[in-house]
Amino acid sequence: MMTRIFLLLFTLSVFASCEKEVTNIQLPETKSKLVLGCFLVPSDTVINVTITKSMPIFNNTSTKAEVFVENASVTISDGVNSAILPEKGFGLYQVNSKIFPIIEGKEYTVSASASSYDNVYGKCTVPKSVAAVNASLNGPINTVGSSIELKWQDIPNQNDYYIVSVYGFSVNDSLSKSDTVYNYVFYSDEPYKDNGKDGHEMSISIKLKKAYEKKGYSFKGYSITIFNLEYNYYMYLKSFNKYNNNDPSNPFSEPALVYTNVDKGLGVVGGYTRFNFIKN
Amino acid sequence: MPEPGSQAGAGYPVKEYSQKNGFRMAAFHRFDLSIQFTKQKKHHERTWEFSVYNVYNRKNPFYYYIKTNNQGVNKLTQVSLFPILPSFSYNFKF
Repeated sequence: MMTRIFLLLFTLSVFASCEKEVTNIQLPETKSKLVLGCFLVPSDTVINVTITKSMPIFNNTSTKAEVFVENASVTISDGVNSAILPEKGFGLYQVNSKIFPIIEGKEYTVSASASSYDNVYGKCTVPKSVAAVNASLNGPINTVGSSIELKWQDIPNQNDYYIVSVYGFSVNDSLSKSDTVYNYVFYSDEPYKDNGKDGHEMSISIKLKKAYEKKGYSFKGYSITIFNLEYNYYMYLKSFNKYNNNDPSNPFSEPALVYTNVDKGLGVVGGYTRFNFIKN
Repeated sequence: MPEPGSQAGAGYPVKEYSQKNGFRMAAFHRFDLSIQFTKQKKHHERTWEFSVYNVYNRKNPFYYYIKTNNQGVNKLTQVSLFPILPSFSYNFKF
């Protein structure tokens, strides 16, 4: 008899399920908000704005097709002029930059409205671009251990977050149509900030990886891009990266919130500029 | 950080979690029982102890997480640790 009782208790403790759906508490009612995504770049030929809706997390699916918001009214304004962005489908609203050019140093407001949602808007000031970069290569081209020193003048009176990316490129001229292959050799995961150096010279030295040299192609040089991000776009990219690196299957991983500067909604209105040059 | 210009995240589903501390976890309570039988022996004192942890086998919440079921619907799911756990021990003092 004692053996049976012991076995029963043992079975109960070992095979009892430790996971169940929560039904005994009141979950908060959440309302969908408009999610506005807009990255303003003076050199882009079009201005893209994506309008989606946020999905309440509980008792809902979160598939991509369901989140696009159609028939929204989207406008961009610089305080004097404004333009309406026509709908292109799949939550994309677009206007050509010839109709509404994006100018460095200007503040823009992007606003959106759709029926049964709160009106939302976000603002950002497009940063000024780096004007010129002095690049000097230390060591032979496309060799392990080579580095490159970059110097440029920081833009005064604005917070700058510089990101540097370098691609090595090789060209094959023997083909009927010349072909160019790009290989990533450096990318700054963390931006270079101008804290305490506002308006002064920025100087960085970066170690370059050796670019893969495809057979028949000859290495020609480096394509170097310096992105200058404004605060909102920097915060968004930083937080989005944290969010992406969060492992949802690990219950102890720290949740990450994605930055937003959109009033009464979610998403981001940010801007950046890019300065690209070739170093042979 | 992703490279600027990649339209990182734009147009992707955004989950709405509501406010921080927007709901309270279910109450945690349990009943533990134990009894000791102590007896003085010739050279030592012995104690038998019989215990039962979580007598009414309540599945207390240890943590919650969001689980997507086969239909693709997100459900708040509770994980509990210890069900009813009987135990015994023997101690002696000399």
